[in-house]
Amino acid sequence: MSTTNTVELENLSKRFGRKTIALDGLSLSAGPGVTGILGPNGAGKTTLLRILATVLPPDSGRVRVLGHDITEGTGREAVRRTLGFMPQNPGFHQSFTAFEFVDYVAILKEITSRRERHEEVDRVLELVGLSGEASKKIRNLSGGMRRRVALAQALLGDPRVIVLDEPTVALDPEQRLRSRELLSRLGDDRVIFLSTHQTEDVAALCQRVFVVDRGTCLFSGTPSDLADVGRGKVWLAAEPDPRARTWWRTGEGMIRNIGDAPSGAQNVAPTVEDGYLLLVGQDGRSEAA
Amino acid sequence: MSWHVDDSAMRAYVGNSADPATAFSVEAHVLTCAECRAVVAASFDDARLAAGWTGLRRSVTAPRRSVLERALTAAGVSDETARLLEVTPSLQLSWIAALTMTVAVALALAHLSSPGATWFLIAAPILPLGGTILAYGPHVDPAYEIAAAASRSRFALLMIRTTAVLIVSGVVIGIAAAFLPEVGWRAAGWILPSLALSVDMLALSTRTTFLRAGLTFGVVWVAGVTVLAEAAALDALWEPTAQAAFGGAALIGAVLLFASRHQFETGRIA
Repeated sequence: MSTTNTVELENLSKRFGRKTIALDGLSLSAGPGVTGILGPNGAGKTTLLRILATVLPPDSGRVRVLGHDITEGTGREAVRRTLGFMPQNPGFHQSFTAFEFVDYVAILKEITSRRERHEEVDRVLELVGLSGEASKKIRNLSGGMRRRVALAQALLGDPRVIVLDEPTVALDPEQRLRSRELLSRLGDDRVIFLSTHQTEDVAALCQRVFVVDRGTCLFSGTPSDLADVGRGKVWLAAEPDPRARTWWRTGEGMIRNIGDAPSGAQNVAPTVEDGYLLLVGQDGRSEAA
Repeated sequence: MSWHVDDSAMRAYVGNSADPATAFSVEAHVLTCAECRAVVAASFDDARLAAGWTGLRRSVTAPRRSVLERALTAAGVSDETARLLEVTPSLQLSWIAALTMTVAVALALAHLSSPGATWFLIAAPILPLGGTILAYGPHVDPAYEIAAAASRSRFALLMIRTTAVLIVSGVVIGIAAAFLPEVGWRAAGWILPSLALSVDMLALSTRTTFLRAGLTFGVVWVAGVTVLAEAAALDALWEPTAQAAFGGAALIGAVLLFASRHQFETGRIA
């Protein structure tokens, strides 16, 4: 795989204060396509994406984006010119309309021609389905619409690397499907990183998935590889099994147990969520580590 | 015109060559005549129609310029820079109004009591410092993370915003200071301390947060003038030696700030 279309993180570490270790020697690499980052709250996902987006510097380690080292001035500048970033909690200048906010970010992205900039703003708002809301004040938009505004600004300038922190939060099912379709299309020739808690999004959208916990990478592979972590460890029964690490009652009234299955258990096909839960769920990490 | 638009009027209308009276008549008619509406729809050039819609949408959605932006562009500032300044909290009308009122009250007090002018000059440097703290950074910019990942230099953005804040503060305070009673040249005595506090605060912000750096210099200034007041030596602030020291401190701060400018780009400052 050519390094000019990949993102490579090597032995990345980041601390906040003396006690909080956000990233602890994390390494991963990804090429074009959609790469999912899964992990529990506080796992280090947001720190990882903020470093990738050049918002935060790592304490140590190497980050190469499309062949540029982002810890060096020229490399960082080159990456920022071809990067789109949607933060986890995107803030907005509330007095702006959707169009004005995206236009403001386009100015920050140095799209200098007014006409070209406005055409670009029209284009990205159309991509996220917000053309009809362009003249509405941000403060009057719903949570889902605001996230789409945040996604729109990340797509300005047709970036080759797109970093999205929980892009599908607050979206209704139809909007989520539209976002999946859009990201899937964009992922044909761009490197897209998305952090999410939605394992369905990972299963539906991602070519690769990394499971991160306590600042380290627990798993890397395809979504089906992640589901395979649960092979032989998910079974249905009439009652909760004491050997199950976790269980819940399904809509059909059966108990779905996840853990070390007893012999003769009625195993079912595991999902990405099952594999994820086995990796990071209660006592899961120690087993995986 | 009969029951339907005649051919020549229709051709002129769809060809964009109809005179205003004919165009108005055709538009009034097609609103109620489905047959003529269909003729217009079938005859109209799709590209022209799309361009018309795009133009209409642009005119509705195009960014509206605020009072501040209009004032800045009238003063020769580019549209882009005016938009970057528009979101600066310490350039909002509310901040400028508060600054103006504070300065006006201080000026009134200076006319009512003899030490009032001195206290005006002592308080004046704190106001631009406050504006500088509120000019840039994650503590005041809700879209800071998005801006931080964009290609525009963070240091350049900081400089654009703080320079504008210092100019606006300077103009408001400078006008008021010109009307201070019986201070003579000391009416300009706040300028160098003000520059020193703001520039040195920015230089220190490469080592800590904006808020901490601002509070540090605010406290240092208040503590310093309190000590001088206790010693009945406030006039020492306007002595040439002290003014030269403030000028030197501003210069050193500017050099340190410029030398550390890359710190703003790396994101070590949050």
